[in-house]
Amino acid sequence: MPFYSEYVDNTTISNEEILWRRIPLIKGKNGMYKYDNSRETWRPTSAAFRLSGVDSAMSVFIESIVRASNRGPEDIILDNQVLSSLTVKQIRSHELGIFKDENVDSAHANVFDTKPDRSRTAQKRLRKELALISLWVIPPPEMKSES
Amino acid sequence: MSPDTLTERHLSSATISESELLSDWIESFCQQKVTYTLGTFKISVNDAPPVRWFQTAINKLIDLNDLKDNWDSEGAPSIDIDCILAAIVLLAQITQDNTPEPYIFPTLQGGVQIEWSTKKAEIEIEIINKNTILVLFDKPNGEELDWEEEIYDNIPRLVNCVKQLI
Repeated sequence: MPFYSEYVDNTTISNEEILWRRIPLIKGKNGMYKYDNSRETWRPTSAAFRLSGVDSAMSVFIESIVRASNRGPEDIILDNQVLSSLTVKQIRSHELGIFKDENVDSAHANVFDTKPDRSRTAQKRLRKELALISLWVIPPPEMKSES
Repeated sequence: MSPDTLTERHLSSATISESELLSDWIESFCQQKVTYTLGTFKISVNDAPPVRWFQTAINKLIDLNDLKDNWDSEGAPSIDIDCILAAIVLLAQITQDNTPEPYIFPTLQGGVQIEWSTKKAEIEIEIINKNTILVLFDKPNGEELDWEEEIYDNIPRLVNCVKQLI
């Protein structure tokens, strides 16, 4: 992965692209999601989104490239992880950028903060916003059992 | 007051002191005083908040110490033991009699996050190091507060937020 100073938003990645974000597991424990009582649904915790200034990028997978290689969401997650999604348009609207990182996987990319000097509370607010707007691709088992 | 000054010092609600490495946790002679071990630390919670979930929450926090580097499979560092200790003390100080059980998460930067979500309010307290917390407090009516401060500088402000969960 390049140094932060070399992070450049790859404008060839369309705003319409869907990004899959793996929601980490706490090994041997639950995942990093919770029941949101005010919205009456399960959602990722803001702590599952890695964006905190310089040298911090968030791993994502570009859905169209995953599917073009005849793979699906289940091929992206590890162990019992769950999967959420955001669009490139959404991340850019929050002044985030994206670049491909094909050394990891042909569909892999990193999302980074184009405004790394924003305050830590602003970074935290941003992580929460991403948690709120993300949609489930592979929802938590607790959510599946309710439906 | 920083965790440094908490070490080997009695607080109204919790004491942290270095001790010999002990086995898991030991419940002491009365229910109100519980002693836990975390690495080489012994943690005594005196006058533990009278909520059923408190011990479970402390055990979840202590369990975070077991996470090794790369626990998220994407390079997250292990959790800073100072953040875990600070979270235990903070939780003991701000929990009220009717406070609901919080969610407890590690953060991808090696810190700890305590969260509540009720129909009346949402609180996120992120302990980013032994001295500093980031707080988000949101209400359904759109009221939003966020701030960064020294961890024990304004406990009453946090208590006031916690009271608004119910």
